[in-house]
Amino acid sequence: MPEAAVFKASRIANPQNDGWLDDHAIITDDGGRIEAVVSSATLGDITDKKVYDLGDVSLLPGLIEAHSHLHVSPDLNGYANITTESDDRMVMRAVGASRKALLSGVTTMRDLGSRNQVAFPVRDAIEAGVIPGPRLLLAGTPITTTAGHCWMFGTEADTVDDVVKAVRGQVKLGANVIKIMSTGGNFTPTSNPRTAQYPTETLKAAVVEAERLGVYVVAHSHATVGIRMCIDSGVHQIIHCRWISSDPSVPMDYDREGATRLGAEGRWVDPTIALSILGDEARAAGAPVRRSHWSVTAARPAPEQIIEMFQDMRSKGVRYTTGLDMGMAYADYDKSAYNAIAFVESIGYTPWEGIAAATSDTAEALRVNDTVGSLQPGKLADMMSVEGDPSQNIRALATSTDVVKGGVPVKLGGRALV
Amino acid sequence: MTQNAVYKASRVANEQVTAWLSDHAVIVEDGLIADVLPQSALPGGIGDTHEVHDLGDVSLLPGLIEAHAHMHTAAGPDPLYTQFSAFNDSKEFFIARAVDHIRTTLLSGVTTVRDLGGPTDVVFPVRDAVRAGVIPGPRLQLAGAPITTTAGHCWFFGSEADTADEVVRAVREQVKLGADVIKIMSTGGMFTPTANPRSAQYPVETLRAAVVEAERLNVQIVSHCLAAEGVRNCVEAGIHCLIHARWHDSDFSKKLDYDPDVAQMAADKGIWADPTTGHIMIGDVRIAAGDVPPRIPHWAVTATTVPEEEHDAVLRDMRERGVRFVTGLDMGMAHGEFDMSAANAWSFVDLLGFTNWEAMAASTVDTAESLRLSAETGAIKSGLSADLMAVSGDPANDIQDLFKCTDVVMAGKLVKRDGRALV
Repeated sequence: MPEAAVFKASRIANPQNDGWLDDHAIITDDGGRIEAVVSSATLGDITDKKVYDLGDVSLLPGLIEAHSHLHVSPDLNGYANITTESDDRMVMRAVGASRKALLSGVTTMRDLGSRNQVAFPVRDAIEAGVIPGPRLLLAGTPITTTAGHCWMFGTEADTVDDVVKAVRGQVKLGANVIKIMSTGGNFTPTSNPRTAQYPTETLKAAVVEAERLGVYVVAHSHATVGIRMCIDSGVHQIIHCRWISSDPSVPMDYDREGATRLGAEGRWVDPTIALSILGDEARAAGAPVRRSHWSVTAARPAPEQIIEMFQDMRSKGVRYTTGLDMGMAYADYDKSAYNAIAFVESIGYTPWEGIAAATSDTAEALRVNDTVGSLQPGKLADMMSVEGDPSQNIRALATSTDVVKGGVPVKLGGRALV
Repeated sequence: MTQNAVYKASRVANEQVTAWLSDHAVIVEDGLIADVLPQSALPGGIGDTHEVHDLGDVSLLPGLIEAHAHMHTAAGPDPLYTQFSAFNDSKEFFIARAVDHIRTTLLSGVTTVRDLGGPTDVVFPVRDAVRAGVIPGPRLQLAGAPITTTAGHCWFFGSEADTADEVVRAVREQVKLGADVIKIMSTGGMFTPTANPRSAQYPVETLRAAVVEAERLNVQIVSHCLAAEGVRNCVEAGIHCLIHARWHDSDFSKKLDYDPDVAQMAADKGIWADPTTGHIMIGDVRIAAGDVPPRIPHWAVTATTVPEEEHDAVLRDMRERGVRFVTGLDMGMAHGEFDMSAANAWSFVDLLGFTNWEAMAASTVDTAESLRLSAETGAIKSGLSADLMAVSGDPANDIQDLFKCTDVVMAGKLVKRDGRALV
């Protein structure tokens, strides 16, 4: 249970996540919310609240991770495990993954595809206080075609009627978001990432049904053909968005007009580019190379091409969420900070833009910015601190020292309390 | 994957866990203890082949052995009926909680846990996942579902069996599922409103049938007993370990019905006892300091309450007659939190008159012997699994220093270093 408290730090992010308040303090109430943000000098003697002096750290809103798969092992055995393991074992993996994410500073996490029997009970267990973990926003099983991308933990739905029923089924179980697989994916050998799994009408039916039921739709889409259909059907957010050509001899087919529409219509994109950085770093340290999917080995875009494309999309007004795709090889559950690191180092964000992306921006995309994503009165006291100053060096974001969720410290001075 | 390593410490427990070896080092290879020697005798180039950890001014002991846990229950003041319910929670909640609990226990310095009762669809999958390296945890010995009468003690996660035939079948079923030990409830218990702790649930013949079947299948059999009638039945039947070993009189108006002859028979037969005094001691200390006591005491024992000192006097007499004690906290019951295994040794010293070293030996080498694990763990000795825990301070002087765990090595893998979890 939260207790009213005061958290002092040398640097506290301002409400816009674009500058520091020096030597400030966050005052929290016994409901786990932020009551006030004040200069430490004005605090005076505090006798009625516990005071945590976090010292020379940078205190930020807890990170928002937009894309996890809680029950997947983040290594090269991921596919083998997910196709053979029991639900029980996946629950156990998810319990460990939730703790790991929380202790790395992630206080809200959107899971974009895990078995219903795993994701919903794990969220319930976190909410009941049985296990520690971030606030979870869940898709449950992604909607995919028979044998389509992630069928092994998805709901297979081939027709418009099947897809509408699948949307309803997820909402009934408590989904906050619908994930639909508009193209195949690299994780699934029986799917083709270069082609569309659903026609526009089917995606449109999913969007209409989701909106009717008060949730939004995000679509996995690698190929230009799929992305165009997502745009036409009104899918709210596009995951990966790599503009791969359907012609195996052509690497990319970037559609600037489509990108302009995405920007103009305010659609969010989850570029999942930190995966590349983590993969590169792991392989540089000697980790084995992931097997390549049959349909994308033919012609691979150069890394610079992908980066230029994301820079161009951003210049057209497309906003990005910080989704790591946790659970994929080398995307471990404590690596969410690499989203912002990748945005800064690859796409050209300023460090503050990277921090805002990982907090207030993604909170907005996840439709939870009324309660989390910035440190201001009335919001939940979800906070994380890091050593050093991430506005100078964004890599500092990966050095979490303290984590507070709903006013309750779960990590202090680098030591886990849960 | 374990790394060959050297762990240096100011104080290292000797093989018998009776004294310190000063400024010694433990060499770990392939998950086993390869050698224990003075730091000054370490080969010069050992750092080339082994990771060297100087743990500093700590006391390095064998990993503790916890003889009595229920990994799926919540250890709150009311683990039965609150939102943390052993009664109504889903299998997924039990699994989630168990995963969290066994990690907590490991990080407190416990490298072996015997679970004496949990749902079979929870405890066996959790053990499998630990063995597969999917989740961190100690070595687990499991009873699976405890065998109890219909509506008897712990029926809600037990295997209900009323006749000798049913009990034999229940023993076989738990062995089939992978049980290392059989738990049978010889009396009712405090946790179960529909069971009577002051009377026997099974006659001697039924317990004897269970013992014969367990021995035939090469597993141990331990029994919960809170009443003299149950203790007597267990000792006569040849049960291997008496859990709780409390001698309540079956007459509600009386207190204890201790029978020294039965205690002597237990000692002569080499029967162990798990007095579970650790969680009682934690509870007494906390309630004296103003904490909420466990939920309303059980109807059958409130009639005439027995002060803990009277139980302890009996336990001391049993010990003098030669009954040996294992360190079982009853983790998961009220005040039996999963990082409190050190309370076993603390209570043995403060309540039962053990010396500090006797209590440390009880928590390690003795309980390993009782669990038939002496060839594997329980001492810092060449050839055994590299199961180690370090504490700051010196528990030979202050037994409560056993709570100050700084480092843990599980089968050669460093899982906690200088107070920080690595898993």
